[in-house]
Amino acid sequence: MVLGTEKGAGTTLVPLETESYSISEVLRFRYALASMRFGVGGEPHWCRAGSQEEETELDPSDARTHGPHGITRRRFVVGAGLAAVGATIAACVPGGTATTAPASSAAAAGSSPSAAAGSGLPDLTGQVGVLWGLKYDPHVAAYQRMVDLFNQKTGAKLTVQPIDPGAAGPPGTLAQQFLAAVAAGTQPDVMCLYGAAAVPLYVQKALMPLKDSVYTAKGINVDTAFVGDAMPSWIWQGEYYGVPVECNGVGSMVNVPVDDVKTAGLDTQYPPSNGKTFFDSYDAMYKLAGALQKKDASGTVTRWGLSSKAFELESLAGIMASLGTKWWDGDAKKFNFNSPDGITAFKMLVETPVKMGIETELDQSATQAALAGKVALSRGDGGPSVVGAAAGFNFELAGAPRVKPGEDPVLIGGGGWGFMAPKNAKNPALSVAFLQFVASDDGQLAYAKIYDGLLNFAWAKLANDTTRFKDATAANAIFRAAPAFTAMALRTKHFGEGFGYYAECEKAAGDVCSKVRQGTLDSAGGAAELQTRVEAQYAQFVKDVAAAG
Amino acid sequence: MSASRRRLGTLLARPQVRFGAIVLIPSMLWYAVFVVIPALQTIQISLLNYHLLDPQHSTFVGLDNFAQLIANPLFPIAVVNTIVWTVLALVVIIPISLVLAQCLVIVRRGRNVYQAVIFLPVVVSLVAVALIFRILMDPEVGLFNKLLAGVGLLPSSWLSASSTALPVLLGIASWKTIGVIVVILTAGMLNIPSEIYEAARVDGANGVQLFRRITIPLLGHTLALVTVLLTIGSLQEFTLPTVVTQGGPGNATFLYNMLIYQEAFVNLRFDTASAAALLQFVVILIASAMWLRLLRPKWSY
Repeated sequence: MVLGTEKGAGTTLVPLETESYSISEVLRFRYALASMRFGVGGEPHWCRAGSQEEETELDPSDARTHGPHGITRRRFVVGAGLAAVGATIAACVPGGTATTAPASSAAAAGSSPSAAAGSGLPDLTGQVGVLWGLKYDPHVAAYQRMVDLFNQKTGAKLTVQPIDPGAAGPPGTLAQQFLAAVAAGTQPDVMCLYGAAAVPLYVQKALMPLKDSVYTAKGINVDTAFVGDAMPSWIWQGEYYGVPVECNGVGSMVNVPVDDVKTAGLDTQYPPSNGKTFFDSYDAMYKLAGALQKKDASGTVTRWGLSSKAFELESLAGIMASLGTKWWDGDAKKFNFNSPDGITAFKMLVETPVKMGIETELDQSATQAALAGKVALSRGDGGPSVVGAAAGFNFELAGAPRVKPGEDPVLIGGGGWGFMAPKNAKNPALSVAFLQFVASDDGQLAYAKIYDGLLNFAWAKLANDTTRFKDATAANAIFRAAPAFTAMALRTKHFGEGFGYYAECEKAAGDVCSKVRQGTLDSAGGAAELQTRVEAQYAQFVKDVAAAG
Repeated sequence: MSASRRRLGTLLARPQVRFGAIVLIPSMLWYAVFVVIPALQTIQISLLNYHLLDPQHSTFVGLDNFAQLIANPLFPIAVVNTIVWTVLALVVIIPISLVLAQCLVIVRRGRNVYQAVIFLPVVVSLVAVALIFRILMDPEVGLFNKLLAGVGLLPSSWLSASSTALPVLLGIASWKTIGVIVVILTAGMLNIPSEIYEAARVDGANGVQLFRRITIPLLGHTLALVTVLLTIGSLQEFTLPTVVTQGGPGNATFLYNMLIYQEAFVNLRFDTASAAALLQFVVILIASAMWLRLLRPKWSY
């Protein structure tokens, strides 16, 4: 019986029974499906043999009874049902944790059992584990670098599993994914997380304490081993829960288009071109922003002088601290936004530049706007200085302005990325060993090669290091930005413990600053509203902590 | 064996029944596992102080989670924004869709082409739409402001100002959604028997009267359907404000579903998030029932 028939010139008549088993099986399946959908005994059905390109007309008389190859509807349904049950069972079987080890890891894992000798790390030959981290190219490469080195040193088989943070952004989403995994028992052995996002995990008691197992065991003094705000975000109620690899400093960085400054003949007056780290004053920064602002012939602004949209919490907290007021008084358990210094902070950061016409509310962050050519000075993170060259810009980094004449500003941050382990780690020895490795020169350096040379490093010994830079010459914008970054990192202080949830405070500050920029609130109104917002989240936080026990 | 048992046995022995059971049971299992049980658990979690990592120690707190939700400063903002969004969606999308559908019914030649053009935005990627509109609406260099300036009008801040962001976002949503509503309404209009229009024309009715006195009343079932669908969709809107404005500027486009997401997946408070979701469910149920009651045709043809 010929089941295949010619459709179109140039195609060969294919007797499908002589073809491979798979094709006839495909046809059987499809014919049976078509029979079910359109009713047995209906019009002839056309099927296309998937892997071949012949179109095949099936014999309808055959189909009325048993399908092309004797399959009945009942047999098909039973088969499909069994397949569905099989697939369901297969889907429910927990997968192995180390099935996709990259080649480099596999190679490293093949090291000798005595690999750990001399590294100060235990011999973990043959032990497998998983590291979760941000699914973002430079981060994934950094994790892989660390894991390869760790595997070499210990003989373990740790593998990297990057996690997609989703549309809502990495910090909160990664924490949520981690928590869900911990609850489901599918947790990783170690994970890289943004320190400030760890508070909900502390509240839920989801993390492994590391004070004794890592810090005491390795003789690390956290006060001197790490810079700036790096470590405090990993401290909760006196216990240490993570090993930082980055400090922060966002909110205190001002990206300056140095070529434009030079063209305007102002390079001797303003940082970083004049060799200074910080602007002398807010007025000085406003003045430069005004000089760099561009308008078209009709007077419409085509490039704003300044944007400080993003990380406003850090910016406001830094200004307040420079004025002598803590945004969060941990001893009194009290926020101080609604205070004279809080109002001044709003004026300096938001209201004054908007009134001067050098800043406006934008529908994107300062960094995005700078990289789109829409603002000259961008305050927030150091993105434009680090990646601007690729987009054709030449930004260099300066520090936030001095708030008081002659005094460098106090900078406030929430810490950066670090590594931690779940409390219910499947192999605590492996988790602890990796975290001990992270808290070492080798581990920190392996991470610090991220972005062709990490600027906001956490490990104090990296302050004078140049080996992490891919190009340690003045031709490299990243290397040029290093002194300013380091100067800021070393003087950045942490938010303080116990204020509540970073994400909620950050969002509240962003929302309120947006309203002040638009003129729907003045500085006093903004300070009052922000105070209300952070107090509301704090009340919730206190309840959450109490409920957690 | 009783007669009823025998009848049941005979019924179950029929191949159609067995086939139906085999086909339906997987779907019902799926529905139970992924819809019914989670829905019931949502109700349960909304009444607990929920410990995600230690559910056994979750304690019953009654309506505390609802109280906490209402005390959240973002709650009233999200509620008001969502109500405004829904009302605007109904007020804008349904009348425009009705007019477009009527035009499509009248214009017989090339109807499919016009319908395809109107439907096109529905199949365009939302992320692409968001990016394109952001570029077009850029306050400084966007095309829309150039066009406004070209006709002597003042530029708009579009998505950058609290006063305009929500209506502008709704404009984008309308552009994206209207195709579906138009297709449904057009189908409904084409189902109205032509004899009724012919009889009315014989009686001297003009075009407006035909639309008002015949089309709208006889479209009652379809209108009820699209109104309910649009209300449900608007009350649950999430993707567009998340992708385009992230709820900003300020909280101008912060909608209720974003609050649920934030509570659950940013703040990791699944109990208050469940309470919020439950509240939303009740509101949608009431709104849908209200619309069905208000728009239910009193007669049929």
